Amino acid sequence: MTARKSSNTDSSGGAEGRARVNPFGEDWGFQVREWRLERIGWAVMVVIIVAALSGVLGGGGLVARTTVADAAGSTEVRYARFARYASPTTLHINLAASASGRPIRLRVSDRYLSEMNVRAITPPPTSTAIADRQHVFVFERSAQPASATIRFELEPTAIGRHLGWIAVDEAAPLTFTQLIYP
Amino acid sequence: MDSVWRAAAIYIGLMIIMRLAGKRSLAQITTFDFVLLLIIGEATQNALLGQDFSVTNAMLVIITLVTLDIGLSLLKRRSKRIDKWLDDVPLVIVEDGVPLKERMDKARVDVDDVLSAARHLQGIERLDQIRYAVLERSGGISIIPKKNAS
Repeated sequence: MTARKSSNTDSSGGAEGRARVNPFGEDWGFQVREWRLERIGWAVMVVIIVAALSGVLGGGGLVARTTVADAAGSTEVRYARFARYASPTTLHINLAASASGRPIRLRVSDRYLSEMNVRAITPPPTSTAIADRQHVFVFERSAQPASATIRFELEPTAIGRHLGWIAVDEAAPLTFTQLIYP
Repeated sequence: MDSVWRAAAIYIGLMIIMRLAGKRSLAQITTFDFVLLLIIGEATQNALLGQDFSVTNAMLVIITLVTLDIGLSLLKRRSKRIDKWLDDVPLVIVEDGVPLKERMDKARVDVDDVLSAARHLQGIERLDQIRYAVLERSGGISIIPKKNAS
């Protein structure tokens, strides 16, 4: 009771700051603390909204997507830096025009794919294979040089940081990291 | 396992947000409060159930929510402190016909709200007929009229 009395006399004082403990069970000290926390909470909610609008929380926005490309610029992977658990996210692989009519062998980290549901690949690969710690997707290519985009529609099945890499033919892999929110 | 964590996360998250919104926000004072409540329910639903529409999942979610609710009510009975943090405290906003402005501002209640409650609950028409107006924990305003109010 003494603790309550002391906490009830703080703050603005005067008629407003005096606690009407009886008969209503008011607690002025608590009330003032609560209001302070409430205001902080509002600020936090505004920050969350701004962060969400910027894309940091996934679901699109300025910083939500980014690209990683190889030095020659012949392969570029566009991916969502931030995505959400069990929500669709896409991975675009842009390939520059190449003179060869050879099929494209796209190698993807199997560890990465084990944390994703692959809902669709557009265009569908003509064949797939399993190699050392990677899945190999083979796409036929026409004889004329043409740039191409391969799209993976994915759904994260695990929460946290996902490390992935993608490589075309024998080129060095392009690595990227995605953060998956619950 | 998923269902339990989901339900607990939603329960705690909603509780924090509702507490931050303040006593008055969802006391169904206006039609829009009611609409807001419905929308929150809709938005929560998918996250609660995920992609699992089985009876097992639904029951698990319900059992988790109800158990949490019972658990918290037991905690509240045991500790006055927890009770206050979870359920707020009442606040006197009018005393002897005088509105306590600073308090009302902070609690985002105005004189019209008080008068509306006074009319509704006590058939009172003027502020000076009110002995006490109390903003209750539920967000409602209760009115205690002056003895000689006529």
